[in-house]
Amino acid sequence: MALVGHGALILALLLAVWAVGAGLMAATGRDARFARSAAAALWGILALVLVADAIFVYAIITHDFSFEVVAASTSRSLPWIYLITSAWASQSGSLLLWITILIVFSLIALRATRAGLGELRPWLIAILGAIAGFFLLLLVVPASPFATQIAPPDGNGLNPALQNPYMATHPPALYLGYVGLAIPFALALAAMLAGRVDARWVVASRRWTLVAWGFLGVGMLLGSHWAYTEVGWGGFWAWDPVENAALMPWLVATAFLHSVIVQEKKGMLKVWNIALIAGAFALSIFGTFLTRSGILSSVHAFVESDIGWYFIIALIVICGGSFAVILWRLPLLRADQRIESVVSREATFLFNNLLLVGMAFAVLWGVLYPLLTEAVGRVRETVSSPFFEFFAIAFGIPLLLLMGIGPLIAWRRASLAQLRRSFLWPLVAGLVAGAAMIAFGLGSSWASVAAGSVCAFTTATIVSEFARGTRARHAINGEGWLTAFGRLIGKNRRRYGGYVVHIGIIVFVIGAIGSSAYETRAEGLLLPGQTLAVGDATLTFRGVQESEGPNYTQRAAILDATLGGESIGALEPGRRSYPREQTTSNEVAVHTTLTGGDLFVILDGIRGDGAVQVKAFYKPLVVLIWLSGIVFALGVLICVWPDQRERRRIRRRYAEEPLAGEGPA
Amino acid sequence: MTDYLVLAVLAIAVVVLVAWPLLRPATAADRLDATTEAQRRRLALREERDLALEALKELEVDHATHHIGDEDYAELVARERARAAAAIRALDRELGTAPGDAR
Repeated sequence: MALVGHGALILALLLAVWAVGAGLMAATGRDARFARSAAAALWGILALVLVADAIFVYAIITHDFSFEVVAASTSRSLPWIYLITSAWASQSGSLLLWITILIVFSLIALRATRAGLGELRPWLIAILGAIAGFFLLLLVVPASPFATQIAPPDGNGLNPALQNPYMATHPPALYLGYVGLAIPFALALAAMLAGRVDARWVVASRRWTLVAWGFLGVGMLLGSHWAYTEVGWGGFWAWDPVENAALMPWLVATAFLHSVIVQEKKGMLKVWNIALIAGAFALSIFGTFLTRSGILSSVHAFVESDIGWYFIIALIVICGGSFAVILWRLPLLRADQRIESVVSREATFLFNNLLLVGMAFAVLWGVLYPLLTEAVGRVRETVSSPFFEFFAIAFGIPLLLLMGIGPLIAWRRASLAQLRRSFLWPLVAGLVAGAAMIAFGLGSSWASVAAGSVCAFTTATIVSEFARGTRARHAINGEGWLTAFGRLIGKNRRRYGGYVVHIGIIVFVIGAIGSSAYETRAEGLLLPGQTLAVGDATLTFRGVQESEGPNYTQRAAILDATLGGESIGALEPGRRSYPREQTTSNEVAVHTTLTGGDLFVILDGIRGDGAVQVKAFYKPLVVLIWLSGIVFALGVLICVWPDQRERRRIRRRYAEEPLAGEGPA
Repeated sequence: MTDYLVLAVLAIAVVVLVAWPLLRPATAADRLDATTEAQRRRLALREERDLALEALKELEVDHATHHIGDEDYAELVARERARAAAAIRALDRELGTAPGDAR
């Protein structure tokens, strides 16, 4: 079976090479038959990759430990749900997931962007084939999931930290984001290679970037919740390089999603947008490289790793190739208009872009710095959370402010009278919020007060946007208030979906401020009957309870908890011991209060005399962080929902001007 | 042995899949013409026209929601109308049609 799986991947690699060759022949030789053959090759890759997937998953669920990867990351006692999630826990398994998603996305993109692509299409197939070929090469040569051995009686098991339901959603969501960024990159590059700088690629790229960006955002939040409940250090974001790996392309893609509006409406920032798309994709490859090459443990591990150099070469090709193509097509990418005033919506988008890209660079520097110090022969110097937090505040607060300013300023230019009228109430809201925070004793952190004020200002601008729009529809069309509100969003999905995303970001920031700047913590060694107080809560240690799980033994401290004097039942933080994996893990206990705060308890150790070392936190408003994910996803969904008006406009434009090479994938 | 047989079947299937479009001789319909310079110009003009029309709609919303004052609105609407009209006129010239016949 392993032979069939490996052979299927080799055949898929050959098809990817064919897709590139046939795509290029179609593009340069102007023969549509080659384009059809190249598209057929992509379908063939999908079929072969699905064969490889099926064999790999079958080997996992039947405990076929003759597969090295299966033996390394599963065991007979592993619950079935984690058997499935182990499919992407390993390096080769995650690369198999990459290629599967990539090829499915590629075929959907080819089908969905039929109208108006013309001669851009063969280039697109060739580029998608090249990206698929790169990942298939990894799966065939250095990271085969089908490497075999003499089967041991049992496998090594799965890292306990990965034995968590979030592993079923967090990695696939992140991968959907990483891989999704390949499509706008391929569209942009194909457009440049074909010399087609009209808006067709921009519209398609924007939609695909939105999808990828949405998945990346949700994936990061799911990962935060996993870290919060599973890793158990008491936080949700540690500025870990793996987390930063997802954050960097997300930031750059955020910049693109804003600046592309300026290109679509004003014909400006064309070079910048292509650079952002290429940068976001390069960072998604860089993220995969970071997490999969071993470079995070040390530069030496990278040198010894099997796949590190492949990624370095791929990154050089992506960055160098994109730069060369942009340079080549520079004469076609001149801006149609210029920014008339710094007080205009296009100018706020530009400032927003500079801040987002600046923040991405700061994070990149923080990730690279330890590697660079080690590479030049010095002791590895790490960059800790305060470095990242400084930049998150320095760039984040102005970004929040721009989120509020942008929607209230008109395109082209804004008058002073209009600015005064638009900003008066939001400014009052911001100042009142800041003053209220100080009055209620929350002035200990100036950054939190500033962020809180700006959140209030921006919320007020967004609410006023919805209110003004609804009122205008009500007045002009005579619609009922609810109908006017619904149609306002339905007929301007990008704009108002974007505002919903902004609300999600604000909810996240409030949750992050509340849970980190205003958390209370306590720790202590408790004997049975002793108590620990944290904020309004008290924990009384009753004793230790042992229990058996499917593949672990758990010892938990039973703590009777009260909050504000009222009993809230027992909290049971524990430590699990996994005999097969020969390791232990922390199981935190969390009680969520009605006000959105968490009483969060970690069991740090159990002594021989029965005493337990307990760490407890009270984290106000932390629930808002998770709630923000739902608001964010809703906003993305509104934005990405097909816009019939835009679709009709594009269909009409290309029906009026039919191009060669249109047709199904 | 079975594994090799399965692989051989897969290999033949994919070769047929990619070779199929190339097996019949090329016809005129298979010619992938590049977008001509005239097509590019017309496409750019159609985009310009659509952009201006969209901008007019946007201005209407901005005016109704008091993001721009009456004076600015009048000036910007006139500018966008002139832009749309110029694009349509240029498109007509490209197509060699009277203004009313513009596609």
